[in-house]
Amino acid sequence: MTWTFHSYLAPTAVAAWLIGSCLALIRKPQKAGLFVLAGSLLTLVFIVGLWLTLGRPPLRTMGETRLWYSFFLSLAGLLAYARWKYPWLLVFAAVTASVFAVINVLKPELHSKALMPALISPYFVPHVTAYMLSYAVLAASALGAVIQFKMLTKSGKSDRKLYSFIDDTVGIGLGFLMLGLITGALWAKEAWGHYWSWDPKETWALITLAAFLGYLHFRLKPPRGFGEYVGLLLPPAGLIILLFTWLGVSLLPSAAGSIHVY
Amino acid sequence: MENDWKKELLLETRSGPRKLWTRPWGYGESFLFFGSVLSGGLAAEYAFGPLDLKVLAWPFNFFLALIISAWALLARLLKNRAPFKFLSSRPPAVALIVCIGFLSIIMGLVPQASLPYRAPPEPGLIGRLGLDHLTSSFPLIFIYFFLLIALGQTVILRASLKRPVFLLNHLGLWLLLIAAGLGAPDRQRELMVVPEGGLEWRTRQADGSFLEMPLAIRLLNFDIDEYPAKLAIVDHSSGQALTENGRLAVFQLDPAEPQGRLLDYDISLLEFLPRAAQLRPDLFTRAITQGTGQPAGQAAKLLAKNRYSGQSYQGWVSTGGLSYPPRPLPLGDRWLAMTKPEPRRFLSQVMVYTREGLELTAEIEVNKPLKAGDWLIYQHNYDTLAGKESLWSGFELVCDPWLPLAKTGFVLWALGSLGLIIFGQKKL
Ligand code: HEM
Repeated sequence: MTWTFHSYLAPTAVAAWLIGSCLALIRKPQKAGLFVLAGSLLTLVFIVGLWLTLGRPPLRTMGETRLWYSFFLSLAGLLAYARWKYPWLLVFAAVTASVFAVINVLKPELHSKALMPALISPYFVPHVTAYMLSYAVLAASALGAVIQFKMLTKSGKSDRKLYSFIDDTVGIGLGFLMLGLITGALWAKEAWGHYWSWDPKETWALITLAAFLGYLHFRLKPPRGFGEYVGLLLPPAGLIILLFTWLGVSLLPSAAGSIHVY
Repeated sequence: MENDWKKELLLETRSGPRKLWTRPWGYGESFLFFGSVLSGGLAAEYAFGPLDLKVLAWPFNFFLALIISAWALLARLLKNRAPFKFLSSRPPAVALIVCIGFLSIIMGLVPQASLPYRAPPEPGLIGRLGLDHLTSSFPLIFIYFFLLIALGQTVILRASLKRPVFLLNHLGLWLLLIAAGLGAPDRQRELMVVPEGGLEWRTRQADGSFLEMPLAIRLLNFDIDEYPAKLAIVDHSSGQALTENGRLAVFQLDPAEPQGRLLDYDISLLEFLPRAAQLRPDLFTRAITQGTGQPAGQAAKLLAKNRYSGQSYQGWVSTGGLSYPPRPLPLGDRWLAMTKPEPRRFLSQVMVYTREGLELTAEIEVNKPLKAGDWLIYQHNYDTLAGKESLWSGFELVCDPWLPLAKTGFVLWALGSLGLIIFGQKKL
């Protein structure tokens, strides 16, 4: 199975994901789950087919890694939806997975095999995948925290079920965030000689970590009153810093000469 | 112990708003306490100027690690005494994490001077307070020290095998922070430049002098392994390469996938030479250029067939080498040409000799350092003008005696992260 085949498979998978999202929004959870699962399985079939054709695991090019993101994101969304029953979780995962699939159809020139030497490493895929998953899950926590914050300011009361959702997603997202950081550090040791160089990208990744770690420990002994408001601001602040770490670090004056800007 | 804090929580809930500095200390006291530590650090930096981390080098840092561990053990014996109880509770943990975040934000915004930091003759306030060299400044060192103490206590006081996720995360992070922080003054990084065929055992220092290393490197050969070039189509009249959807239209040559399409043409790769020599203008063969310092180009024999007119063109295309120009293949009023190849691997074939009598023959490349005794040898740079025929290779030599401890910490922490993902943060 080659990439030509992808131009037919991907739109079908995207259609399944989007129909699934709509079904979730109009509260048809079982059908929604089935459609999203179908999209994920189509992607998996293509990955396996490509693997057999190439005779190597399809992990080498950017296009190939995007296939895995699509697959894992949709699957993670499905599992989280089954556990938490929030439709927007499934919608979020399905739309993100679709974006990766659509990029693969529209930008075929990015199937390029020319990966620069520093990126050729067994840490590359786990590093990027862990960060992608943490982005997805922590975005959900941030959204939950904003809703909780609004509820608190309006009625002075917070929702316990929503708190347990935020706490759980922060735990899971933080787990992935730390795995991303750890694989990145071990990779840096192989590539640059040291696991932590206070490179701006590393520094901002640490700030992100501090925000969510702060929230987690805050919740272990929840403060009342003013402190509760401040605590709820940590996940959205963390998410903003996270996006900034990913996309914006290269714009900083302190990033001049950074080795991490690509 | 579990019940202790539940009781505390109950007490607090019952008694309503409480006064500052009544025990047990909570969030207000924690933030005031570590805020003072931070201010103290800034004041110390202002008063005593930049600190040379080398004063903490072996064996001093080892004793410090022992003291921190001893303190944590002492905490186990005297766990109900105020300083121990306070530092292993949750509010100071939050305050410490916030302080680390705060210092990192400064570090992320203010460009940091390279280390070792030497004060400029008339430093401004930012420099005097240590904000442009935070990693070796008093504020960060004070907070880091308290972090090591608090985390160590938390591990020893609160951890049990019944809470493996908690134990793995905190113990892993603690070991890592000890190795990374206290080990910093013992880390050594040197740059060594070795000529092809030559033997080198010295590294050049910032002041121009040479330092003898406990190992020597002989460079047998430096090479760049390139990806096969890409093909592009150039218009005769404009001299521009053609685009598709606003991007340069290219076809990545790949001997494993010889068939493909570029714009209107079906391309077949008939023969590919990663190092080509030109025999006649229209004939290429494998080149033997190793060690001559002369770059060889890539060449490919191609068949291009226009999908619409059915017309086919066959012949050689080359990137050009030192003794011959680039060669495109004419396609009517267009050219089929090669783009500049991109590097896949930078590699040095070396022999390494250590003082202990170790003798290694190996290839060193980016992402694949060589371990020789206590040292790791990294591919660092080369003569970029000569490219793959560079006559020298630069290596970075790194020695970090604390690395095994750091790696242990990373592994435990990674297992803890997995535990957090799989089991959640609720107690097991
Ligand atoms: C690697 C990053 C960290 C992770 C993933 C993490 C995670 C956790 C989790 C999940 C708990 C709750 C455990 C339970 O209730 O069973 C906890 C508790 C705690 N953590 Fe952390 N933590 C981290 C770093 C830190 C740091 C830097 C400190 C600072 C000193 C700290 C201090 C504490 C304290 C004091 C508790 C309460 C322990 C108790 O009273 O039982 N942690 N942490």
